[in-house]
Amino acid sequence: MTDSLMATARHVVLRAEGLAKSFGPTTALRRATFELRAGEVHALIGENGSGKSTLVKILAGVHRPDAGQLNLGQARLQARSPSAAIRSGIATVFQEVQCVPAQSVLDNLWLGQDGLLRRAPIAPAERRDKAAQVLEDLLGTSLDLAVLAGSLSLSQRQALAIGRALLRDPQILILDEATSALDVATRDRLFTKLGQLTAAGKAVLFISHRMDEVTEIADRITVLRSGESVATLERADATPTRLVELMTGGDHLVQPDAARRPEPGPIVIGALALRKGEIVGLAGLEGQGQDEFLRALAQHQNVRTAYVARDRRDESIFPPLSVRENFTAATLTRDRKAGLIGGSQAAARFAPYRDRLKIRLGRDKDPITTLSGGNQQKVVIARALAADPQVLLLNDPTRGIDIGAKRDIYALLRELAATGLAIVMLSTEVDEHLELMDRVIIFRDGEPAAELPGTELTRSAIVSEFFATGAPRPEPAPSRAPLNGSSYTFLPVLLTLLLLIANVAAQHSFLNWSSVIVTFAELATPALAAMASTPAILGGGIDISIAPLFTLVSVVIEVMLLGHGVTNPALVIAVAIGFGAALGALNGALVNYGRFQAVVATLCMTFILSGVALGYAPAPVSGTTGWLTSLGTTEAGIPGGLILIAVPLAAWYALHRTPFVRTLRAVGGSETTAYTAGVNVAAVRTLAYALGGAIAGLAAIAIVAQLHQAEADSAFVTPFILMAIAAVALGGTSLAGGRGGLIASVFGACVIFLIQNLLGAVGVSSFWSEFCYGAILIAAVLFAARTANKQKVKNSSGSSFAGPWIAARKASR
Amino acid sequence: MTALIQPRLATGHQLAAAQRKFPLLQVLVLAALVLYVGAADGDFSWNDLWAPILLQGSFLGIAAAGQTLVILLGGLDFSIGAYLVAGNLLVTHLVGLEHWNFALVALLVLAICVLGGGFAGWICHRFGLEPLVVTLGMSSVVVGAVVGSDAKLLNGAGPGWLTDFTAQSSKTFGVPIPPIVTFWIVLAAIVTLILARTVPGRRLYLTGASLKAAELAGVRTGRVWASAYAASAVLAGLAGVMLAGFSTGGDTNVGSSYLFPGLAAVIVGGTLMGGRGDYLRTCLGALIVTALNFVIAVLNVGAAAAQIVFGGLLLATVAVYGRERRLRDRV
Repeated sequence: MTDSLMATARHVVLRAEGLAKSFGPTTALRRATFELRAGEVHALIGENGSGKSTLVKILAGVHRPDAGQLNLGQARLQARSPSAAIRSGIATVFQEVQCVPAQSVLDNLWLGQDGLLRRAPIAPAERRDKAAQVLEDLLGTSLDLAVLAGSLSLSQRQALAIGRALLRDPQILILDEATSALDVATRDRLFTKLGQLTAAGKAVLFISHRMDEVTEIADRITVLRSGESVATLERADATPTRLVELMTGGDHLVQPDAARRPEPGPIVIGALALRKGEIVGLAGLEGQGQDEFLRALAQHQNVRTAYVARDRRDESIFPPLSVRENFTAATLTRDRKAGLIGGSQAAARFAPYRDRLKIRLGRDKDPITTLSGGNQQKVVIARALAADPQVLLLNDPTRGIDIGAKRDIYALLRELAATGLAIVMLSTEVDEHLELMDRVIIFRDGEPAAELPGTELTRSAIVSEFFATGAPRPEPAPSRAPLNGSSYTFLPVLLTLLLLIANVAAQHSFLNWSSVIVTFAELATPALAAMASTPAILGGGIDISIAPLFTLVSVVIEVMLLGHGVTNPALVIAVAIGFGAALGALNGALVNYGRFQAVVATLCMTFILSGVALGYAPAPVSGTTGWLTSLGTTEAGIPGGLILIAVPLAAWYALHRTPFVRTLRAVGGSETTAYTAGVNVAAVRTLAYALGGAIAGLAAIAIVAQLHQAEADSAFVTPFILMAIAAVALGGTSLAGGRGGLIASVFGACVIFLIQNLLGAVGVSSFWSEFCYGAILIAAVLFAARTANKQKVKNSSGSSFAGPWIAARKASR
Repeated sequence: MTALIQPRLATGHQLAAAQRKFPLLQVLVLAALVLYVGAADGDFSWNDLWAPILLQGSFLGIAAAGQTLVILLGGLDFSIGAYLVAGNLLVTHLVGLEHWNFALVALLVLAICVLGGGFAGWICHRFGLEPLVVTLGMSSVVVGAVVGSDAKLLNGAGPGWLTDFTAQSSKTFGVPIPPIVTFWIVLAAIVTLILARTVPGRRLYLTGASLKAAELAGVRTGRVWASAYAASAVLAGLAGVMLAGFSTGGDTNVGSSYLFPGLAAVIVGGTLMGGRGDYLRTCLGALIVTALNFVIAVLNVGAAAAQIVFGGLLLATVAVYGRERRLRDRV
């Protein structure tokens, strides 16, 4: 009694009032109201699709509410981005484990705290100490901070994400299903930590599926149902029955009715003793092997199975295609008449399913994305049924759909079982097992651990099986982070050395000082073009307009500066770099603020930039001046080309002293992690494009110094486009972003240059050297892909530079 | 307040929905461009306005057909130019100079295209490589191997009947339409039929719309990728063979004058990466790009302005059609 009095006396730190949010046709949140008090753990519970995650994303600054008000203390909270929410003291851990696999534990923990170019004022030693401390609190043991996050176990990676939030020292900590990926011991240590936080007056918003966890640590509990907050209970009033009643609206009658169906028929799948007409549930905590088990069943050879995947958006629907096309995807050949697919046939096949599954839709020619989540899922199930399976396999099919659609699906499944179909269904909701299953198999530690027949199905029986102790899962040995990225540059360095030897062998004069000078002068432009292409790629984008960009800058130098007698080196170099950076920034803004696909936007810029360059220089424009001529040969005894190559490398090295390069790699490695950690992703990427443009400005100086002229003809420019990207790939920089660097690209350019030089020296025609160059490029990207696969970087949720193919391919690996 | 905004939003959505179903905007733009050229020349005759646009559009349209398939799949093909050059050079040299049998040379071109394209598509899919890089590499390999094997290939001319086939003055069965244009129309009908009404066509859309979902629905997506890239190479090779009659003599640079304009035709037509679009849109796009070239010729502003206009037009088209999802929607 005194406890609850004290609780009410505590001040409210966050108040949400009538929050609402819709995504297209789906209303995710209708009216959510609750208050969070200082010093409490406040649990938010609700069924799948009740709007919990949407509410969390609003609080975390990811989404903006359509209606309603959020107050933080006395002030109105209008977080327009995760970084704004973090600044106002709200740190969030998301359900999807957020980490950058290719970066160290330490970098992952401090991600997002530094500015664009300025470090947060925390000493390196303090960073290490705090990081070690927070990990030890969560994991119980210390963890090598230099290890790559990708080599950690799922539980450790989630601890990393929680640690990142804790290091923010937030007033409000939000944990969205953050415990589902944790092992039991780590979870208990987290709960202890939460106790310390609330004792210090901080507030915790705790979202979990697990009733036992909620009743264990929550002071108060708010229940969401169909996007509305229906009640807030004190812990003492929150019995499981009451909570279930609130979550389901009271009409959720658990009816394990053994006599509802005829006896199961003959066995269909031996391993499972699966019989016709029975519904078998697969249950367990997240990641206990039930998912893999179900997928393995889908590969069963002798039985016709149909599989409904878990992730509706990424694995089930074809977003741009119509409802009908989504329906026929697995049964295309049935609509074929004399080799051609007829629309009327598909429509006729779909009609009965539409009625039977109560699919609500306008016309079946409308895109599937116009349907609500529940109706989309019904279409997906209809697709599976259309293939006449003997066994229907469902992977958490009611995840994130509204309660009405759930009921329709339950009814359908019962009906299907009654007609003799065998059904295996993985579900993350205990109630679903009670409601639907004839028996439930519970998974622990990667294998089926227990089986409960329908007569013994109770909530407590299932949940206690979840937590029954099994053998602890062996943790994989973490691998150390590569030292300064030396591993990926090894191959191009080796190739460069071998090719150098081969070049000397083929042409003994290659090492003469005069030819060394020429070599550097010729190498400078390709090396600079390759370096210029690198920053955008590191950040997960691409700029294919680098070659026309430096061509245009070279034209500007020749026509506008040298042509008008302006030869001051400081001015010319400043104009070249500044103009290049401005054009690069324009590309970056198009991609990151205009949301154009990187390849498409920079392709358009390729046209525009080459057009402008050609307009000013329809024919090559010649001209040079004293210092440019010496840059093309030697300056103070040093080959000018070497100086030009060294300048961006030195600048890049200097940039390593700022957080920029590390943040850029994090953005390229996993943009969602960087974004939710509070990194200004668009600004970081745009700066990378500008940096590339600035280096391209130097490339313009290099080409003018080498050739004493500027040329804008496409036959001259196009090879550089291909070469620059090839050099980056050959250098070992991942074209998907996140790994690599400028030096790698220089070696990539060296390899290409030396190959062409060697082939020229031994008298191979330029066409055969082109052949070799293409073959080596393909071999290099193949090799890079193989090594990346071997490293097996887990949980790569980053996006791709040009759109769907990499994202899709990553997912399918 | 929301109630006030609703009706205007609705009409905007309806227009957008109508535009998705039918490329109305493109038709209007094309009509405007053609009318402008006609008005500027003061000549709307078949021979001076329509036939030249159709003739040049047909080469671009054929060359861009493969790119359409590959972009529908969610890829890109930067080796279009190389297969075009291969088709062009082998025909001009082997048929034109060495007097080989045309069918034999056509088979040779077909083999090169199927092997090269299929290989590129297969490794992109199998190892998750970036199509941009792989096709750039294949491009060098194909041109290098074809020309490198015999530098004399650069001399030659297409066979006479092919010149007739692609000449503007030629007629199709007495109708004053150049045979190449008729050929393009037939090709467009076939490609459209395959895409819309056959199982392989549907599989292409499914794979492009969602690789994982297609895989789970039983589509062998590796085969789809390999076949689409092979088809792209074959169609580019075909355009090259046709060009052997149109232009005199082989030219290794002929490819680059079709790669980027071809890509422009696909994008301007409204086909976007990942399962949205069709070949008829690309045909419209090819005609728009061609007509735009005519406008630029009429304005007499030169190749430089042409490129700037292309770039701007592409940006505008992509801005109207899909852009990337916001970062917040990807969390």
